[in-house]
Amino acid sequence: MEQDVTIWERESQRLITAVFNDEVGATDLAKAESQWKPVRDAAVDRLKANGKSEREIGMMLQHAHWDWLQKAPYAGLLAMPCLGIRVKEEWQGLAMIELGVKRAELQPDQGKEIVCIEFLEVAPWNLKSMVDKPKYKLVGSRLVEAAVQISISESWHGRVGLFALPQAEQFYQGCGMVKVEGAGRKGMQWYEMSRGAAQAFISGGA
Amino acid sequence: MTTKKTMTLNLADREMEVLEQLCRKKDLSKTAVIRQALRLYQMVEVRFERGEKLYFEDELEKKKGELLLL
Repeated sequence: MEQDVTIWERESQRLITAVFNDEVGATDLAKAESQWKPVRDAAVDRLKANGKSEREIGMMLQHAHWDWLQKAPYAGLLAMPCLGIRVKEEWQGLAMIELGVKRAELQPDQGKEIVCIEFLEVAPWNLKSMVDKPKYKLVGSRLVEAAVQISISESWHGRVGLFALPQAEQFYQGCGMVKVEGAGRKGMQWYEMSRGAAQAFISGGA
Repeated sequence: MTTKKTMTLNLADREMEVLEQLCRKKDLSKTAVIRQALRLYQMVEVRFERGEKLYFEDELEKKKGELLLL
């Protein structure tokens, strides 16, 4: 289902209305990937031209290899809803979440169900690391808010968690999530939003 | 968010008892438990259709059993 959501347009310095969709399908993922891949690839090529090694580029653009087409087979599963935000026909951000598979680490809800954000990416033209003049802001925050709302609708009190790429840790801390020591995997830290932090986040307190 | 439809669910006493036990254990509403079960069922079905298998493993007992769905 689609509904309006506001994001910040950097050029005009004002909030604009975008479209949020909580039932993003395989066709949408393919479209988003076709829009994003050339911009991601161009950012990598620029760094290569500036003499950066593959390893350095991998550190600077940690998600440059993501491919939403590979996630398309999961779109449509009730356990893995895909969320997206678009402006007209241009996708500005996507998130794939997983419901009820992971468990909360933080008290008072340790061991209880949680919404896990498996993947969250904003369009490369919205990232300072990818382009000189990013277009929109707040896209990632809106997707995290949507994950919190889904958690609330599941009676999970807004609990959300994810394995964060190092480049994204600061963003998730800004959302009110905290790192849970010892719960990470594959070089990524486990970040979690408790029920209290979720309440503060959606009411603008984070 | 996604629009929801209402339905009546007829359960036997024992089934209702199990549902209520799960609600208490998970601190969830009946609707939330049923939705979670549906998600899990669909996930298992889709992965079975892809030729994947589901196992339960007991690391301490060194036992591993495949779950067969009818």
